[in-house]
Amino acid sequence: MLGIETSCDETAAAVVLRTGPQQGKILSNIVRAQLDDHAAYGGVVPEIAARAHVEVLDVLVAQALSETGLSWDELDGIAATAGPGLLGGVLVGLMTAKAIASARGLPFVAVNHLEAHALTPGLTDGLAPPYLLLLVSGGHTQLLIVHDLGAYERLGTTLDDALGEAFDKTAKLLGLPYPGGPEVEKCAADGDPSRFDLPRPLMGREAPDFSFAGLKTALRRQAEQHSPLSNQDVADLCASFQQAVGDVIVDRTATAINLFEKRVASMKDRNLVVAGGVAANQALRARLAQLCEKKNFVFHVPPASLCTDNGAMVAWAGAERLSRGLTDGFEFPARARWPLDPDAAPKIGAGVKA
Amino acid sequence: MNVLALDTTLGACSAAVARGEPDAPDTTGAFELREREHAEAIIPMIEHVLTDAGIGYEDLDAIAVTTGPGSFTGVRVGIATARGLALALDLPLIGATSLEVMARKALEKINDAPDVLGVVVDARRGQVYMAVFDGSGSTRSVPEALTPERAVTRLPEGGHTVLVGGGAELVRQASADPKALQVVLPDLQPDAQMLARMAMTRTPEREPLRPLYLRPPDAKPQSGKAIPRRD
Repeated sequence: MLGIETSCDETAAAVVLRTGPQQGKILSNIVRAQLDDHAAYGGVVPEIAARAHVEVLDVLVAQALSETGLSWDELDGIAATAGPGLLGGVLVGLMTAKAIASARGLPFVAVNHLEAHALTPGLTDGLAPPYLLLLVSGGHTQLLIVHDLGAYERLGTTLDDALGEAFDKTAKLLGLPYPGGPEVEKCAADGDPSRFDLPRPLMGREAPDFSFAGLKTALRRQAEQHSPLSNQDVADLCASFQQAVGDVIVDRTATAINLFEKRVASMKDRNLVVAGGVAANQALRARLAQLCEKKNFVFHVPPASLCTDNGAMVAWAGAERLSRGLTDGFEFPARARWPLDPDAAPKIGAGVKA
Repeated sequence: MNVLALDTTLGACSAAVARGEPDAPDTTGAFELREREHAEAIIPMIEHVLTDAGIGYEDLDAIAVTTGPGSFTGVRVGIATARGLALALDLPLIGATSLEVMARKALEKINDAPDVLGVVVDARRGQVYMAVFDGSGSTRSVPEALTPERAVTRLPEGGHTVLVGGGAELVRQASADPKALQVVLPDLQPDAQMLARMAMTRTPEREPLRPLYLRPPDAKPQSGKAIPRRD
């Protein structure tokens, strides 16, 4: 299966071989990040991203295929992210995939980007549903029960900013380079996490939702009070921010684990998966690993290259869907909002993120 | 020679096949006025046209596409589709601007060939996309994004000047002598059938086919939001 991903600022194409349920192998996985294109703007600019995707995607697809030594006719299907994401970019991948599938007479699979993240542990860890998923990226922050392919139950979501967005905004506020997440983590390593008293929004609430807008405002206020900031101030702010975020993530995930235990009958399935770009944060991973140990859950994190956006996860999700006969027509639209759990109520402040 | 052409740049969606002799090809096409959802319509339309023409993808010799100007998204839908087809079929690409396809179509419809033909699209935000041609369809001024006032200065003085397209009236009204300019075919759109015919006599691109946006992306560099640093 060929997989194409263009929903944010990574242009990606990959070929994955699926040999059975939760059995697959990545044959090629090409990712071109656009960091330099967006650095001057301190965040992803949708139109710049879309323009960059269309310049290089066909070259990356050709490369992904040639690395496998396969011909077009040896593929079984073409998959592309059809949403949720930045529509201009999504359309580039979607149309490229449709064109290839139509031209080669291959099945086309429109993949939900979130489902691709959600199913990645099947490819990397051979993990079969059900499992609990914490999806944390620049665009999403959700806790979901993965019951089965296509059957997702949202337990909680952010009500405003995504966690990766909160990291990026913190970095921007403190004058750290883009992308901010890794920079905040790096600075936090040299800081005192107890120096600044920051709020832990929604901690202790019954529903495992998230909110990061208030935390960001509190951080700004503290930073302004100490302006101009020394390097140590910045390190301490980053450490305090990461500590607050960690407390929130652990508390919300613990709440979700309790819900998972109530709702999933079979207790052999005690697995927590963390996916999305923020899963690369070592401090947060360590704290979640601790939580899992305490709760007697097995902790799964896909390798960093498969946590951030990539084509392999799209190819894998496409292959999983194709194995159940789930293919899509060429009239399939790009979708800015495409919740995994259509029954969950939209959260107004989160917009497309919920 | 068999060419497949497509257009999704402006207010229509079309696909066509041209076959046979380059100078007098047979064409089969589909065309619909469409402001949105080109991405949903274009592939089924291409498959439909191929079926109508009685050929398959394997019979094609080249893919032609309009490169813009138009809506940024529409332009990319066309280019991504064409580049995807070319990649999967190992075929060359032929590009033409949306405005030159419109010019050729207009010249076919206008009985008295003008001396000067301005093809004008309303680009919104106080601008038009315009290119200027002579009566035979040769380019006299390349596509640009211009205010209507600037666009007027691109029209050569004298001779019979005709403006076509959805932005034609904007330019006519910006002229010092609106009566000297004739506006016809205000609803003119690009059409893949014309593009397919044009492509029959063109040399394929050597470089990858790129969108013609004519405008920079909407984006402003980040400024002054960070808290001041001491060191």
